[in-house]
Amino acid sequence: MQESFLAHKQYRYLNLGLLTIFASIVAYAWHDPVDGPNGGTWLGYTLGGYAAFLILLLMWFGIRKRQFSSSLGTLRGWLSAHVYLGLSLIIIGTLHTGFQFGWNVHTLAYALMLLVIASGIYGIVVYARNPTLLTIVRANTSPEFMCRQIAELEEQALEVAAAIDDNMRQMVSDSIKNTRIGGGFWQQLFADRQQSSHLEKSAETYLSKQEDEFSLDLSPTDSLRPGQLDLDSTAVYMAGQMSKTEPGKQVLNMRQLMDFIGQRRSLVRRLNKDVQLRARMQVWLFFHVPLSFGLLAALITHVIAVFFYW
Amino acid sequence: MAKFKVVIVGSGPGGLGAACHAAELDVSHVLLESAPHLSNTVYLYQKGKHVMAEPGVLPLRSPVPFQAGKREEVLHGWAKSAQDLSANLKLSTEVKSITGQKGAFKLELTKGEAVEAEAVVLGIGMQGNLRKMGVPGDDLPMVQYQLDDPDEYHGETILVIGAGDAAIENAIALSNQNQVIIVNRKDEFSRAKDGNNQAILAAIESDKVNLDCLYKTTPDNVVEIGDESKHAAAITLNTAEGTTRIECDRIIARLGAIPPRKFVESCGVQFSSDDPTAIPAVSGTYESNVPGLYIVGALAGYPLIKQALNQGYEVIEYILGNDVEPADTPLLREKFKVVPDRSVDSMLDFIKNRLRYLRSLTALQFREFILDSVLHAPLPGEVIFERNDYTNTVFSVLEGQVYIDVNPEDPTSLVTLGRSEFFGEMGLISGRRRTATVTAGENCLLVETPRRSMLKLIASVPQVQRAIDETFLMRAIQANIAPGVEAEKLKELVETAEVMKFRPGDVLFNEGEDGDCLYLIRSGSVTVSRIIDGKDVVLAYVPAGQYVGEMALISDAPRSATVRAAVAADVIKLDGKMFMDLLAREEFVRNKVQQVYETRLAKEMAMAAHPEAGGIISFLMQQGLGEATDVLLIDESLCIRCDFCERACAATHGNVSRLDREAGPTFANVHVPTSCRHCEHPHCMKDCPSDAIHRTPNGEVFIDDKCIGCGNCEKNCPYGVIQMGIESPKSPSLVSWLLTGAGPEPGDEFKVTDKDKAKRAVKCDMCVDLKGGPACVRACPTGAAVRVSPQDFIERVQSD
Repeated sequence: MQESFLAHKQYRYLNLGLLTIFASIVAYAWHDPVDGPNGGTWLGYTLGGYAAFLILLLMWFGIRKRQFSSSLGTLRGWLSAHVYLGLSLIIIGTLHTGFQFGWNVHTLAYALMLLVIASGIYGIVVYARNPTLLTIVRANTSPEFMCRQIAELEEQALEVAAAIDDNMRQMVSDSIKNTRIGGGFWQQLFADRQQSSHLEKSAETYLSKQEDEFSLDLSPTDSLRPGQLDLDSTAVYMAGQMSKTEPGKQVLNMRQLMDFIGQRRSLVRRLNKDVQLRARMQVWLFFHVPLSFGLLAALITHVIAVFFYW
Repeated sequence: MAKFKVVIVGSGPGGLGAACHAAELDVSHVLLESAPHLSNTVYLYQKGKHVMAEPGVLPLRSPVPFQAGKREEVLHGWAKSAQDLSANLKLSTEVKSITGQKGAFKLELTKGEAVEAEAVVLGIGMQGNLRKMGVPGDDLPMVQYQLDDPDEYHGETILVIGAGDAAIENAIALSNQNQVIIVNRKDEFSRAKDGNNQAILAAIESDKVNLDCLYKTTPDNVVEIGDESKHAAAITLNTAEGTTRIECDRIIARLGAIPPRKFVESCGVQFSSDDPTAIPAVSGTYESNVPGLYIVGALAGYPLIKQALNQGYEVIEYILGNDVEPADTPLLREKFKVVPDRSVDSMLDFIKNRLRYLRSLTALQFREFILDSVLHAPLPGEVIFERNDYTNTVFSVLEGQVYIDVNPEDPTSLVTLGRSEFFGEMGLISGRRRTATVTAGENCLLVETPRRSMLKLIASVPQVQRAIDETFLMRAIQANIAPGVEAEKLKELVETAEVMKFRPGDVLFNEGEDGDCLYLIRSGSVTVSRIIDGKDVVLAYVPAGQYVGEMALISDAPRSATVRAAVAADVIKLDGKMFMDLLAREEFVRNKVQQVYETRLAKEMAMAAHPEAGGIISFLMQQGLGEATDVLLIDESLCIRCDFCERACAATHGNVSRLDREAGPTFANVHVPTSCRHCEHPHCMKDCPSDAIHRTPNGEVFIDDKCIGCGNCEKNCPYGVIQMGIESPKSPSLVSWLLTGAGPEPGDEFKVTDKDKAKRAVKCDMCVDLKGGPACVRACPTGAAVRVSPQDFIERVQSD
């Protein structure tokens, strides 16, 4: 519907980036200094100067995006330039080195630059993919609404479980207690890998199968303690509850409970997916920005070193 | 029975001004006020509210002091001056009826008393008295009819009676600290705003909120109960199942107010029309059609405090037979400066003679009209307004001529308007852009009248409404259907015209019906839809100024689609046969209509092939965008949820963001955040007492410094885009945040806690003061945010 930052002004900055890359490669191929290509030739200085200028310009993005009254271009244009000119640095910066690497501050600056660009590439990928995924996961509700719904389902599940028996109530309450939404740094990033509780797995298995099919191949047992259940025994326990003497009412309760737990589980999944998608859209900046400042420091050192030891 | 020279009813600024001046002159008088305190309307303002003293140029001649300041100071000053002048006040006294005639009026009071008067001054305002429960015990001390501060009460059992917005808002606010039961006469809350309806239903449903509801229940009586009970009162209620008794500490009945019209009419005073905003007609000396009965203040059409105070002074002078120059004469003199060497009275006569459509105005209405208006003497060739401007004032020609360039393709085709004619009514009625550019001719003298005054006149003077409607009709047909055809040739068609009103979702006509008429949309907008594969698919959106229904007439077939009002719409229905006759006569019109028909057909066929685009249009219409002129949309496939749009808004507007990105619905990838849509007929403008909401020529609706923080616009906006906030003059510093990390980041919202600062309404102003357009759009890093007119957006969707 809208023109994205990648396509800004008919790929103006992609074209500019490609043009400078092409010009640099041609110049590099044509230029044949006596002591081999390096940063100290006139072409080396030109490429280096241009690259340093680009780095400063790209870092200015962080300031420009907070200058809300500025009418110097739109932020979309700035981001488009940031992306394409940043990517062009891979070639321009590399040509500037003349492929002379070593264990020194110069190569450190180069390596940091590549790391910044790499984290930026991750950023482009998540910015391109995650927005649409988020819309799908949200499905027109808000996280607050999902949380409310989860709380309601928990209440209802506990109520129905209590109507079945104490063991059941305990199991449901354990399962609720063990659910995590969001969490710390790593937990947010990998929020979708959270394990389901046995009860939830059973509910899912149950909901995916016909109920009679499910209870047929299992025999009733009611001597199990809920705290130590593995998946099978939970299912066994529940199946046992279902086929117990009071088939009418209990089966109805059970079916309802499975419904509540299944629904709740899928909401928790969606919510965690939402957290994860958003976390992944932000996490790379924790590398991108500090690394940029590291790069800036290394760059300044590199420039000073070069001019001092000329 | 006590007898007075003057009895004054109502102690607002008008009544109080009159009483104090009468006391000053030692005229026998009494001031009757139904509330237990003076000036109830001002008294009900929120605590600490800043009261404005507009218009600044108007001198105050009343002995009652008044200058802009806090509500408490103003009220204190008034009470003190009434006391100092020993005005004869009678509080908590309601007037039941006024009978008799000049020299011998009799006023019956609710307490069974009566007073006689030679003259009566009515200054009862427009608010009306709060409606009481009308059952035994409804005036006990624990029964109240308003609620200032819900946080004042805690741990009480409170019954809230009523099902309107006020009752719902009170009940929900009180339920934080109290046990609340809301008593609803019906079985639903349909009268309330959507948001309130949902909120109350959720609160009733929830076990966590201390709020219950009794449906189909009415109060029967209230009794005080003695000390042995925990509660102060017991209320008996009539429910569907019989009566029930509930003990409680407080009863808050929010039953609205009784508009004063009925009472005023019962005194013999005539209103100018049935419109709810209509006011009674009064003479230049504030006398109504009942001799000896005078009306001042808001009820006479003067809602401003200073005007009313002056009127109170003047009305006593007039009753005593003194001829005083109205206080506003110097203002008129200033206005008439563009025409040198003419007295105010001769100028007023001259204007009234020239503007025939204003003949039926009373002297006072006319004076008010001129006070609101501006006189212009433009130079020949000066542009008065341009095509596509969003201005909405109406101009009347006093002298000279103006030229209207009606056809953008042919700048030489000019329509000339002369003396006594008016123009600009199209923008006023449709709420859309100006349809033509108007330039001044030789010796031109114009009166420009603002939208608000014009709407007030249309509502209260039927003759003005008729004049404007007829002219609008002819010109709308000329502009949109038959350009270049003279009025004479369209007369027959215009005579068949009928203005119809549709509510949102109402059907103009259904697919498959016979078509015998054409509809020209006067205001609002409509959607065109067709049943495809059993589903209603929206094919097009047609805004005000365009017509629908030509397809069936031209093709002589049943209606090919269903047309519904997207928002409240006024539509002009024209006879189909007359229209076809016109097409047969006028080749140019025929070609033009044929062209529109073909383009539409092609577009609708294309749309029928892409039902998903129709889904987006109908989604947008459901969001009320049918009345929007400029809306913020977010493409969620690009939105990285960084909230820089909100930050940019806050950073450029005193650190209060006027948009909520996350709120609002999404369809496909189109997200409609909560942000102003700059409606064609802005709901927020409807009831702004200080006239602080305006529209720029580009269409932005903005609130200026005159805002007094009353909150009316916030309540009237159906889209919830106006908030009350305090802007902070200080902005976070980017440099210090960047270098030290201390303090807030630019774009952070921060709350100003200064209690002396009054909250004011804040809303999107489309960044009128900023270069380069709306900050929210310019600050979007990925290009997801866009501000567009719905029409352009839909065209984009259709062509994608």
